[in-house]
Amino acid sequence: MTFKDDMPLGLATDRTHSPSGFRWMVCMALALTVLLAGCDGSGGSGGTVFGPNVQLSGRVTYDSVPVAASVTPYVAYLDYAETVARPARGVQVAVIDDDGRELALGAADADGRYVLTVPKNTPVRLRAVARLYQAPGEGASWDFTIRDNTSPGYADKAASIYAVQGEAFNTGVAHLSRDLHAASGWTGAGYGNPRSAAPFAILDQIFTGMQKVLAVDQDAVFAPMNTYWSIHNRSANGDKAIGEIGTSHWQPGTDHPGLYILGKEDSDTDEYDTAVVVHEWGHYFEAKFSRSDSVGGSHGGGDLLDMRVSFGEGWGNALAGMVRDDPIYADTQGPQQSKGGVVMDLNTPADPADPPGWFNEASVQHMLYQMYKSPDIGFRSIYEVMIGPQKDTPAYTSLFSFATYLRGVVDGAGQGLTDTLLANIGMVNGAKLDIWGDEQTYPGSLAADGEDFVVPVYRDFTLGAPGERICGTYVLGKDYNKLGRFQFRRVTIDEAGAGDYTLTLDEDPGAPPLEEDELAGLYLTSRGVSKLELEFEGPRAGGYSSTVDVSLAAGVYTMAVIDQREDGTAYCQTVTLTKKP
Amino acid sequence: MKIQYLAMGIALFALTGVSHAHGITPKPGAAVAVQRADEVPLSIGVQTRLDLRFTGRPDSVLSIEYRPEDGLVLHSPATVQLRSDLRGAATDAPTVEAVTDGVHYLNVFVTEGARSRAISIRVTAGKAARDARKLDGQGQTEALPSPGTSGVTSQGEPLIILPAAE
Repeated sequence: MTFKDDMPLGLATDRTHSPSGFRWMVCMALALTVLLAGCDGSGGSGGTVFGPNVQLSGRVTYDSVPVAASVTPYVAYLDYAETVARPARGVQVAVIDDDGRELALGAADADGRYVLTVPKNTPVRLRAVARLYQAPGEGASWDFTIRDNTSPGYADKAASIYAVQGEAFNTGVAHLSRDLHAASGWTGAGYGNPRSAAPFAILDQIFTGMQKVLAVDQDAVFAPMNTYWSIHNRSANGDKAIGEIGTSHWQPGTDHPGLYILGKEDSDTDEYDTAVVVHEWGHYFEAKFSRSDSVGGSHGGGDLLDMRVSFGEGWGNALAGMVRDDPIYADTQGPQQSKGGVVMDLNTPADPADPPGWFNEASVQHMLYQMYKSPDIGFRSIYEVMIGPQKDTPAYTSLFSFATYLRGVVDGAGQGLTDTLLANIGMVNGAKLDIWGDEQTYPGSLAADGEDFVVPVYRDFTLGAPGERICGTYVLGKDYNKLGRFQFRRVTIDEAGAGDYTLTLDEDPGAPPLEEDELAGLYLTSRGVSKLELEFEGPRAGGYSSTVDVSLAAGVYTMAVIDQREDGTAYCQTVTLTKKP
Repeated sequence: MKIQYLAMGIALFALTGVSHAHGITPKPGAAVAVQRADEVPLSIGVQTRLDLRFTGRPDSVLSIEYRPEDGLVLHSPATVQLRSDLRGAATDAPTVEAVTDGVHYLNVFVTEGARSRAISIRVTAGKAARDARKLDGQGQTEALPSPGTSGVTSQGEPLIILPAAE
């Protein structure tokens, strides 16, 4: 029997490349007279079957190398001795003839099992492709593929897809069973053999994430996504085509977007670091299902982050726990993947040595994971907020916006837990909480001289001359994505004010030229949609003062400005937004 | 500078590059970074100090471990401890020697507090130094060795095929 491509996952699918309609008619005719015999190889019990085809069935598995980790003592490593074969859930399975043509194509089920119909007496090979695919149509659909960014086609956006393939065999005249296993390639002291399992290990985490979403939204449509992994992928910034991907990350935009996952042995590999894979997939989720206003950048425990970054990273960490139902987030690295890079327990609040708050990703991840575990909130409520109001918030995406909207969709008990969690990290809560954090006070745990740059979280921007001089600070962190570097403004245009405006951005008189790696900019957005971006990157000999025209409809806009110098001095900018006559 | 905006939602960049409005989101890690101060190619067989700039938290201890990959030999201690200054900066200059022509990497593991981060520093030597200039967009880079064989799906997608056990 030939199945359609869009069967729900959990059923093995089979698309035989032969005249299926004719075969079906023959089958029906035969069924009238030979009740016990199968068609297309669908009947019989080990002996010769009728018809031109036989059934090929079996199971596809891959080596899963577990992460052994604990916070106390602080250890994490890949435990090769505990490697187990896991089903390659949902992957594409194909039967290939001598010429490399696909004779049959289907998908493994949730146990890695497949059933394909193949021609009798044909020399073939069995192939599993690192791809999860459900064609668009009614209901859910998805297309997740693991590719090699160091393959020749990468530059042309046609990087090779990983697959594993077995030895040739003849299909014979009876049903037959054939399993396929992708091994890790570990030979005791290193990867002495091809690392066939790695792409399937990554894909299996994506499968798990997908199931988490489908459990609360059975018709979810997943935008196609590529994951780029290679044994050459290392922690060097440079050319991704030679594996210099920086680190494992989500890359938005249009230039080879997708997940990039480390794979360099003895340096840093992430294919088995399940939490890392799901964390980065969490950024995909934000980008495609929800919204993230994160400006990205380096981040780590205890960093005082831009609120958009801390929410996105805390979300990624928390989602890793939610999807895997495991509060331990671990990242391995080093010789033989034996060192712990990061180990976190999502059930533990942020390190007491680090100021808690909306700017601390550990605070965010702890809060989200506790909400997930609570019967009064759970994943469904979190999901509904993420794909609903959080996606459309007029504010920037932050813990303020998320918590405000969550309080609106949960019952009193859920609201109570939310308020308690917010209070525990010194955040405004209850009726005073809003998406803008207007009532938020400055945490006493932060350096006192940072207060004027952190609260109010947003200031209302005054239209017209003479403009506003806006200053950031470096006292809470030097990088552009740290707390107090970007300054936020709320720009309200009423109905009478809608129209064409002139925006002027003036740097401080006498400010030195922007140097290498320094940047200044102004970003005006409406519910996540860019209206204006002015960005100036050093080295830049001249100043960056600019005047631009922009048309603004009535509504509330968010504006973020930054002058990111690295000389330890705070510089300011003057922004003027004036309606044209 | 006076610029007329013709379309809403179109970004204006004074310089091309990655906008901070759409930054990549790397995995969590120690809040540290390492960069080579220059990209001067190495001469094969000559010991050379690599000027490395570390950034981390201000006034913090950075535990460093150097592990060279094939083609590179480390002549200075493999482990050092640095203390960052009040701006979070520290420097070190391990001595390495390239023994073969090519692009090599010095793996640097930086631990700050409990967390660590692995960073690969690229070092070019000999002819590879000239080829490396192609990385700046002046040409195609040489293909890396593939761990598998090539294939294609029925839809024409390229495959890299790895062996499976049965």
